[in-house]
Amino acid sequence: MSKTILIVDDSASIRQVVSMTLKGAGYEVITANDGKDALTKLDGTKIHLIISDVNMPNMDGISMVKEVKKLASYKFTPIIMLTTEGADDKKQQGKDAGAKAWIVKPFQPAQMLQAVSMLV
Amino acid sequence: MSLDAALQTFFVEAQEHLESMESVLLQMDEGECDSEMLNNIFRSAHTIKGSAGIFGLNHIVEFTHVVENILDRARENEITIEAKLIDVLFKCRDHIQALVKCTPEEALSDIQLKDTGTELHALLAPWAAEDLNTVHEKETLPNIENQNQPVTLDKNKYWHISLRLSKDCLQNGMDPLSFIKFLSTIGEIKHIKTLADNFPDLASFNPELLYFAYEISLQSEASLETIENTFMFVQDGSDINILPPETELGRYIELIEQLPEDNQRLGEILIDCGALTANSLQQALNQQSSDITNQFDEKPKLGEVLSENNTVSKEVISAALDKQSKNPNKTIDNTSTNKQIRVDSDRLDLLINLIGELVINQQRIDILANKTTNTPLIEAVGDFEGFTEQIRDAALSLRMVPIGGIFQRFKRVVRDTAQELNKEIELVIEGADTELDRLMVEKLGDPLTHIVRNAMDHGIEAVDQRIEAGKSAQGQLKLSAYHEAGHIVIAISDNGRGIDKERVRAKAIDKGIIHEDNVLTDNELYQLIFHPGFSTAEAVTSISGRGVGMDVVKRNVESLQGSIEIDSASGKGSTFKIRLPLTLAIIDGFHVESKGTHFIIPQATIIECIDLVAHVDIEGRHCINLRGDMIPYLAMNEIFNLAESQPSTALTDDKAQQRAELVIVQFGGNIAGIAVDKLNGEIQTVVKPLGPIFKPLKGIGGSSLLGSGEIAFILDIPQLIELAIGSEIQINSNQESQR
Amino acid sequence: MTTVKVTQKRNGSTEISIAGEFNIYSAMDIYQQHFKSISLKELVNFKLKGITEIDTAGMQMLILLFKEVEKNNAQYKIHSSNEVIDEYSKLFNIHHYFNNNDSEIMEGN
Repeated sequence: MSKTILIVDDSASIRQVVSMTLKGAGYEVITANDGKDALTKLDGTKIHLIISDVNMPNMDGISMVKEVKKLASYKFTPIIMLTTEGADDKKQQGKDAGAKAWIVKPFQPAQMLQAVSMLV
Repeated sequence: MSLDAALQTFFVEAQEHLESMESVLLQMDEGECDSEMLNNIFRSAHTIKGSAGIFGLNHIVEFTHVVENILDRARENEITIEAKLIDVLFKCRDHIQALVKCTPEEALSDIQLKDTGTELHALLAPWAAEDLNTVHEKETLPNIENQNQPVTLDKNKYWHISLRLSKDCLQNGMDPLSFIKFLSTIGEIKHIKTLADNFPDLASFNPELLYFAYEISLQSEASLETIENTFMFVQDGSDINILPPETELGRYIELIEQLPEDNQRLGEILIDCGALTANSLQQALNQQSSDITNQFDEKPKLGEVLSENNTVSKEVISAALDKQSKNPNKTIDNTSTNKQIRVDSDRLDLLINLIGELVINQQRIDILANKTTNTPLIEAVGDFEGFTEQIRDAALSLRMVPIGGIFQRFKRVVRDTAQELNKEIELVIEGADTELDRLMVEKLGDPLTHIVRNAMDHGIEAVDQRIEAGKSAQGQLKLSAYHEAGHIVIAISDNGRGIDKERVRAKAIDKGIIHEDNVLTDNELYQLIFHPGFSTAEAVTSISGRGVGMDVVKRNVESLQGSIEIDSASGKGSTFKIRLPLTLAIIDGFHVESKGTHFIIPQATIIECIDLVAHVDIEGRHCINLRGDMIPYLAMNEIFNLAESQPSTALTDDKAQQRAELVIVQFGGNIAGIAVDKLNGEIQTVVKPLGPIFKPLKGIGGSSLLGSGEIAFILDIPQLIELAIGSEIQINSNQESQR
Repeated sequence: MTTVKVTQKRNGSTEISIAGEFNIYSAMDIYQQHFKSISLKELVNFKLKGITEIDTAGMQMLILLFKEVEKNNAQYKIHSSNEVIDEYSKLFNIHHYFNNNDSEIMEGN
């Protein structure tokens, strides 16, 4: 059974590269442009992993994580945060919100796949 | 933006793989070939193709696919690696490199590039499988599982992984299930024990928390880093212990004692896992408990508990112990030294800079402490100095890299150049593990290439000439690196025809570089080669060009505070020796003063200090007779036009005291003196580059802040020596021409 | 959806049947509703065939119940096999918890 991954990023190219990578490895991929958009995708569809950017318009990654944690059927979904920021306080905020897995950009596609396969 | 960054990562990655391909091909060229090499080169091509596919770089994918396929066939022993194939593969590698450097659009429009690609594919055809084109589409993405699949499994290589994951990991969506599944993609789980010992009572159970604990025995060729990374997302609040294969038993005992579960049970579990044998466990325990009894023999040790169930004779134990002491744990060393981290070079430079400041501050404290009579303080500062030095050395060693990396590159240069020149040349590398400052490594590539090509072109003779001269047909080029008196020496030597001194001399006269009457030592004569616009080869070849460059070589080396020397014997060969400082960041220097201005002379260049007053200048020149040798010297106050500093307190003595000390320095084969007022002693100092304003100033290599807060100039000895000798020659020739 | 049925039989045995996805999402509710103060005596029959998915939270809850049975000097039996449980228990080497099924008792319902 293939697993479904939600990719949240405001950069189209990143969405593209990440989904290409994941689809190539056999995952189902759903994409969203920002945190708000992502929440609309959480409509009962089974999602095994969320990969999200931090800095996004409308709703940033950390606020999104907080919202996801309120949803009964998604609150235990693993979340990987992608960040360019080495800033530890951002990371701590995210961890407090419940996003424990962080990958620093730029990442290699293989690295991403590896991280994903550790979580789903 | 991030896509670009990811693309950059791809370029770096591709470059690394290309380098690795090259080094494998070179090994193959020397007739070596084993499955590991084949796997390596295959994986390189595979990864380049795979990653290129992710970024839509189809021009790379298309070409590399065919190469990968052939390497795969070689790996599967369907074809053998033969000399002809190696030649083609070298070209393919270069072509991939060219493709990596251009965009898909450029690749499409570059007809020459396309032709090369088609041509190479045609050349590869004899080794290709027939159904080559049918397997194309499917494989454009990297198959990470394949890459991580251990190539060969060593039966004894079991890792032990002990997991007490953070209790909230399930709530964070991290199920141990996925980690265990991942582990089985990088190795084989030989045994796993899921412990349910820490379950609470039914009533106080929290179904969202993790209570299971795990002890895992894993067979894997993966690195410690890879295995550690498996758990990177659950590190917070987790207790994860990963013991490499053949870890010392003591570590297991420590682990057992540190874990919350019952010790005896854990011991049994580890035996179950195959991590320990009952014997070895007990033996370690015995050892441990006897060590510990001396300190505090309180609670019953695990060893005693376990020994109740064990009936191993003492002989067996001591025999086992014996055996263990004879087998130093090599594998452990390997795994621990292989563990590397990558650090941004800027951060490293920052660290080294800060340590530089630390060294200065330490010296200041030293000065202040010595002004007091507080012996304990002075002693403490002395200790502090020792540690500061160790920190400095440790930090500097971070920036040191083995020179082997550049040497390796020359295998290809030599191979290709020899082919081009139709000469037979063997490259010998010595001292590849000699380390030098990374900054220097980066700047050495060009000068070395130049010297190497020059040696191959002009030094080593054509095959028939060699045979005629009674030499072996194959010429030899040797690259070696070693330490010598605080310097690193890189020597490039060949067993060719040597430098024809007469021809050099004739050429130099012809070019007006020297005068017919000038009498030059061999060394001076050889140095003429570095004169701008000098070339002795009668036929100008594409390899080493028109003598453009040897002067640049010299300048490059000097910019690294280095020098270059030539030694040559007619008919036997030449040696170029590049002498470089160990590091560019910090020097051990000798602090001197002239007219109140501070100077630092690099310690490694100093031979001795003498009292100048006791010596008399020869014929009114700045030259003294030191034990029969003529030593030219420079007076710092004259060279740098130093005026008397007005409020100087040091200026109490009579005039004779000025310029009273002479520091004799040496660089390469040359000796000169530096006259100063005052010797202040040894000092360790951080080199700060001079601002652009000071760049034209000859003789100064940098500046440094003294412990007292004053600025000191670091003398560039090679330049100064040249200046001293130069002015001597000038004076000499002036005198001669006056006669 | 997870369905859990706990039935106390007249002969003193207990039957616990679980079906559907048995994972962390339902774990808290199921525990609160059925298991927090369950009393397990004599014989406990587990009917697990209907479980379609199990994660570590689900598995922990089963082990918790097995342990509780043993603590009470009672016995438990697993009725017929289940693929997802087999897969999990094989991976984690905990199949001994499930190996006491009595092949003679066929799963009812």
